[in-house]
Amino acid sequence: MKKYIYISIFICSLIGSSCTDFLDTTPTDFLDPDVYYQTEQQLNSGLNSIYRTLPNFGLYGHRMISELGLQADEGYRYSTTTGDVGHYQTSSGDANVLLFWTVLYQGIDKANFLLDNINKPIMDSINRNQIKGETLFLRGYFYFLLVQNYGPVPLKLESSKSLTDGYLPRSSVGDVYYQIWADLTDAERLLNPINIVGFGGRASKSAAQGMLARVALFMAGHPLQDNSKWADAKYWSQKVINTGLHELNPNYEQIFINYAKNLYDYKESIFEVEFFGWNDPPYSNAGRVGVSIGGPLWHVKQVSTYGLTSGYIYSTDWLLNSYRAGDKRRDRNISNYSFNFNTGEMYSNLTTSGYARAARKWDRRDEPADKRIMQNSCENHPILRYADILLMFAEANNEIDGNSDSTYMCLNMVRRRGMGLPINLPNASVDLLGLSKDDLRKEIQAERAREFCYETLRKGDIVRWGIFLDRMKFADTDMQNSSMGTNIRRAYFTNATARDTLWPIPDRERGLNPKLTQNSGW
Amino acid sequence: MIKQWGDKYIFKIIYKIYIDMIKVIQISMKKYKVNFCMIMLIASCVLFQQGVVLSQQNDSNQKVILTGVVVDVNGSPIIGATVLVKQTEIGTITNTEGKFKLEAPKSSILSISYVGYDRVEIQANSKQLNRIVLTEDAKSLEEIVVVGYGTVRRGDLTGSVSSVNVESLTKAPVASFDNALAGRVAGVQVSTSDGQPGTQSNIVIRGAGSLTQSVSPIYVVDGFVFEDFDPSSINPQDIVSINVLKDASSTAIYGSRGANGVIVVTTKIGNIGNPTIAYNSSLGFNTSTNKMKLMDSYEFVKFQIERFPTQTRSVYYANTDNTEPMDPEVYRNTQTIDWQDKILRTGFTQIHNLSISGGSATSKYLASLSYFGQEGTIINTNYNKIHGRIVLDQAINSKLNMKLSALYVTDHTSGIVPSTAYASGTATSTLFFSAYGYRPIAGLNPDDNLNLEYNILDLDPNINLGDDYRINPKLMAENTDKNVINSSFIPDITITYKINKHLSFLVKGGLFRKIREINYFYNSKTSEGISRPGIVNKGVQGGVDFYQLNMFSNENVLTYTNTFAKTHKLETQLGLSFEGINTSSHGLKYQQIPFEELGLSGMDKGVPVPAVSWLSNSRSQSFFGRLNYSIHSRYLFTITYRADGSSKFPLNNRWGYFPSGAFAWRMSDESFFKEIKFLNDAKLRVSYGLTGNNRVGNFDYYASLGTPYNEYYSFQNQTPEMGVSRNALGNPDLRWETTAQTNIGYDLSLFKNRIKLTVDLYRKTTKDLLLLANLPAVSGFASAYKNIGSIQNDGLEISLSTVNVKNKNFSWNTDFNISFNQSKVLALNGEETYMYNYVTWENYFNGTPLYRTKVGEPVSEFWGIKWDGVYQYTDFDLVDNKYVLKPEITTNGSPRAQVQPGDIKYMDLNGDLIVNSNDRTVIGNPLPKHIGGFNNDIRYKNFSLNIFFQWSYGGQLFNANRLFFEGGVNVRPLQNQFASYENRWTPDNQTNKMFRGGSGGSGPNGIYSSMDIEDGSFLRLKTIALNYKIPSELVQKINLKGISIGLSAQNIYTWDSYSGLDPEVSVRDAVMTPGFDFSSYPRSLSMVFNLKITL
Repeated sequence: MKKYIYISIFICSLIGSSCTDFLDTTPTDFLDPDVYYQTEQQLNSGLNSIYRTLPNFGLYGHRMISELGLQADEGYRYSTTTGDVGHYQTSSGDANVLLFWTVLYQGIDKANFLLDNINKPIMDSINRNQIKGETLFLRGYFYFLLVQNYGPVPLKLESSKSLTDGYLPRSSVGDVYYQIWADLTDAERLLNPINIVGFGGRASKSAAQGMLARVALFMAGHPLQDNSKWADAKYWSQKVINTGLHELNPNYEQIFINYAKNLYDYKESIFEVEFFGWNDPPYSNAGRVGVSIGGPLWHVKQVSTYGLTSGYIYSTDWLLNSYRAGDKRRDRNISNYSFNFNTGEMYSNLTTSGYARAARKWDRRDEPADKRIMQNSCENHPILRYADILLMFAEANNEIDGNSDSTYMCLNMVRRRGMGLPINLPNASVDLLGLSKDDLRKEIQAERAREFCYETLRKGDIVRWGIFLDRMKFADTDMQNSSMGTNIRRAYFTNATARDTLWPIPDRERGLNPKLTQNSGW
Repeated sequence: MIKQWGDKYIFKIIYKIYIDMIKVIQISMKKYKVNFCMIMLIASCVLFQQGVVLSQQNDSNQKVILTGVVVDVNGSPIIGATVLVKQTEIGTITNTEGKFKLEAPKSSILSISYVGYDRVEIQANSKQLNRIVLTEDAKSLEEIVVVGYGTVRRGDLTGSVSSVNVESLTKAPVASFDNALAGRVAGVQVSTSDGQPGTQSNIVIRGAGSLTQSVSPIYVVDGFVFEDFDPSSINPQDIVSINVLKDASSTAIYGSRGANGVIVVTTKIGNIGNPTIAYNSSLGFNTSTNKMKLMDSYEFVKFQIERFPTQTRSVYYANTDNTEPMDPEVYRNTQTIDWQDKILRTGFTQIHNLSISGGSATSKYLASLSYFGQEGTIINTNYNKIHGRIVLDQAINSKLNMKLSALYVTDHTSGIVPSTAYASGTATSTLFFSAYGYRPIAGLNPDDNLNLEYNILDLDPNINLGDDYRINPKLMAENTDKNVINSSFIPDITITYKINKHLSFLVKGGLFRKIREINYFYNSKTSEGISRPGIVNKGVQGGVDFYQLNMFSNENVLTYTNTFAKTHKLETQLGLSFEGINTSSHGLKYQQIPFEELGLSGMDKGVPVPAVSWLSNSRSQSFFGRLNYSIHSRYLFTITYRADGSSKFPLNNRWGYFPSGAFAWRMSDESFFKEIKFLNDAKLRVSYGLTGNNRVGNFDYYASLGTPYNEYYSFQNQTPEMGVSRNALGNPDLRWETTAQTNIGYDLSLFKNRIKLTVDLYRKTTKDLLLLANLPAVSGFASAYKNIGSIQNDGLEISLSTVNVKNKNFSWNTDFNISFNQSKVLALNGEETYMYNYVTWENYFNGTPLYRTKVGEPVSEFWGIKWDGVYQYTDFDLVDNKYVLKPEITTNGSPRAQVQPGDIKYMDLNGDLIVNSNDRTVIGNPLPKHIGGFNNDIRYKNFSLNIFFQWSYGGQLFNANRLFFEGGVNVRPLQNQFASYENRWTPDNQTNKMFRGGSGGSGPNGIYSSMDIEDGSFLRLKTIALNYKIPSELVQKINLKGISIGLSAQNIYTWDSYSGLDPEVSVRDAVMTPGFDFSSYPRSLSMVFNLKITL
């Protein structure tokens, strides 16, 4: 009987000693979101991860600057492997379309979560406002990218708290734009002026104002066509101009040299995506600016001089020929040299058609000699430049029949800079004057292409102007008539149809959330 | 019969048997022919005579010297058989001639046993001692089956438990028993993803009960429960029995871990007797069973002309004028480099086993050491395993027994893994992409071909080194230095204490310590470390990762057995167990390593790269009990209950409760069945119960923040600053997954157990599925663990064992089993009626779902576009000399104007004349309709032959190789193709099978279609083992106990219609992504010569 007692005692002691706490374990490998964000430093860490959305592989880190942002008449992507969204030959299963969507909504949730915690730390209110302003600016910009590319999208303004969050229906394009408007106007109020911020890598008051102008233009254009927004576009672009903090860099080329050399010029470059280093461990903040586009496809024999570039994008005849003789921008943006395919010898291709000339803008020769052969680059990428402010002002002012002097002034400043002439000195051979409203609009549209080609702005522009299909058909026909008009090269333009003003809503999302409808034609 | 009774009852028994016999004869007389009755009469006389002999020698207790000989049915002596005097501790083992000698009371009973043979009990003074014949274990009702926390007579089983025929299983020349398990047990599906040496099998019992979580069974090895166990830790030669617990009644005792079934393995301990040393060795080779037929140089150039005319002219027709047509005939009968031959080889296999065992009645010991070494059929891929085990079973006194055992096993897998891409975005970086796709000819100049063969890169300028990652496959395989080294150390102790006749207590404690080291060194001749001209990559790289698992487990079981009123048998068990697992992982990684000749040891000269580091742990605690109750051994009841607590769930859901019950009715014991004389046993079993699954991460219910480097951001070109964001949303409601299973089984044994049939019917319903559910990206998160959905598996299992022939010189036994399982998804996440699943293998396809799981349908189905052959001329109108698709004919997804005759054609299901994602449908079913096996054991004199077939019927495969090697959008310039693509559409060969070779013929990119769905049914001659036991007279002359020699072979021949290498393939194996084939390691045929020596 004694034995029973011993055994009973043994078992009871085991149960007694362990039942309560034996099963309590604590995670050691990660932090608890509920107790973080207690200091200004920690808010900044949260903010950093929101900024990190921009250089993501799916956005400016690769996909946008090699194909997704560039599907317009300014050039075409040539490769033997076709069949993705970069060639307008795709389906709603496209991985890049899904990635773009996913990355942006991740950024939006990060922003929402930071906003939840923004008031937690005890800190200086100016700094808190700056962080909050940057967060709102980025959230607004993320929605702006979404609405441009997918049309109506779910509007999610609360951070995800449970697993049932996220099953939202699409909000109308108008609602999305009004939210973007609200975010950016709040941001504009909270953010520090750019001279306080000191560089273009962080959102500033100027960045918010300029972005408001851009959003206003998009709202005034297709598909919303809210004519009241022309005035807002003018108002906000004028506001940037009136700060007196900005001016055009006198040398167009210098803008891009600055990006490559990590020099900051906030007067011209109001907001930019920051890339750092060449992915030397442990950091992975390098990009592909210059690698995706930076002149013709690299050749083994030329790589140490010209750098490693994939030469994804070729120009079009239309863009090449739209530059006046002497426009410095032409040869910066479109390479005037090629490499012999077999020998690697460099030759001038000044006489060849635009369709055979690679886009160049981000020339890797501007990077240090030992770094231009790296597979990644440290070159920053602009999101908003002062030239854009001037041209937005000109465009808006023209539409609302504003003072035409100021319209021409802004437009001509950009044109003069392009020619390498003094910006503020009128020049009869370059300046435009006295055009009809329609002609002026066309000139501004063309000027935007000349100035901003390969900066991921053109497709958005031609869609909002409602000329996407016309321009793509034009390029298709034009290319067909040129010596370069093989089917595979032209596919890019041939494939574009009305549905391509928007991408499809990704399959994965529609599979999970039946509330999501599909865009027409997909 | 005799053994259950004391000596003084012997006469009574014999008399009773005799009287019974007479009754039988009387009954039989009425029904059967006279000659049958005669046999029965003779038999009864023999028995009676024997009874008389026995009875005459009753009541004498003086000690005598007993001698005897133990032989098998062939008359060969059995060496090392245990001879025990019942109810004493006197015992010995037979010598090399099978003889034994011991002193025992005259009236005692001797129990003679040997592994694999039925135990025999004989009266000490019987004449039978002169020739005791042991017959091979016939899996009789008396067979003891090891189940959870105990053993049970097969006859008393109430649940569904299958025993594996271990003897024939271990004849296969494989590294681990799971590699030979496929087809051996009804209801157990065993497969490997491909033929990579050292690959662990995926075992699924009675259909997948979970969608995203592990569906592998748990393993119970000598009572030690392992959740994530590598079966190769057990030396196949050490195995005594393998039992598979399938229904809820058998598995519910393992509660939260029982839902996927339980594999119970018992290993050898020593036998009583003098030390026996056994050595066996197998030497042989293994060779690839298949390789793909590729285009030869002529066919290759012909295809290149069609697909890449410009490039082909610059490479193969450099001296011709642009206007001159390219004539492929120039390349007819030129040299063709066979890249597959260059990476495939015949590998050497060797297996050695050495063991020593022995013991006395109070102490038994066994120590074994084994080595398995296999060279894979791809150069530089190898698998080695060393295994050591020691067991001591010591009775301390008549009540206390202690068993100590320790196992150490280390295995080493090395070399390239063809199914993984080093650059994960592109399929072009896999081994077989290079092996199939490297061009077979560089040109007419032989020097060019030599360059191609010996250089690591094909530097032809037409190959875009930025998106085409082919490198010389031979050098790639030769130089890939990747090693996975697992070491496990498992010591454990079991103490049993018999408190009294009815009550015993067992304490078990064990440790499981596992270390996995993964190291790799990629030099400049590997895909990872190569420097492509002009491209600066990570350079030479190396790294080491260590993963550790430390588990402790303690189990305490109290067992009470008693028989009331002679017919009411009761056995109860109560238990308590604790388990804790600590895991950790740490790594080092370097790139730009300067001195590659130093290998891994020079790694630290490179640039450090962030590597992995984490710690984690989990705990569980359980209470369990079982009650077995039987009346007359005819009505059998089992009730089990388990309460499990796990740290993997939040406080409110921490405990799960898992009851089960079973009832069995031995009909054959009922009087109305007793009259059917050819019926030995008939039993109906019914069971129902709940089991669970807790296979989630240790802290998956927590929300978490991460600070990975890729969240850092740099401002103003400063060193990037830390970025913090949430990386998991957590789920505070996470709870157990529960499976309810009903089983109805019937066991039938006929004609003196010569025909045995077991049929089981089950329904398994899993609810609250632990699912790594996709979340809408709008939430900001990709996925989270949820308890959603429900799956049902219905199945039928039939096992039939027959003894076809059994006589002195010749015997032939067969085992046949077939299982059917039908899965059905009952519910998914609320409004979600289907889930898409993707395989990651190639950028252009990763975003397209290949699988769909839908409510009301099987767990996983292939999802895609229905293929409709090839556009023919009749589909077009000729307008201005151009072929324009007729308006009523659908496009294939490409713009209408681009579709040309010979292009791939898809079905437009919704009638909008455009093929797009809306036209996707179910295009195949990867799950087999039935699987099974057919085993034959044939013995003729000293020869034994085992022939084993395995099959799988009705499952389909997706052959993704064809997307790159039978045309396809992504074919790269100068990339070779399968020979099958030679039969493509051309104006002269208007086939409907393969689209044209020119660009655009393959339609839009990123489409999975039924074109590449193939039948994966197969019948495989899996194992043949021929063995010859050298007659003992000869062996004894050289002072050995036994020698046998043999030949065995694995994967001998497969009947199938699959166009790929092997139909048993699933390189992205998971419940929702089965049956995907791309760049798989070819399966090999192994053949070895065996020698077994016993000292």
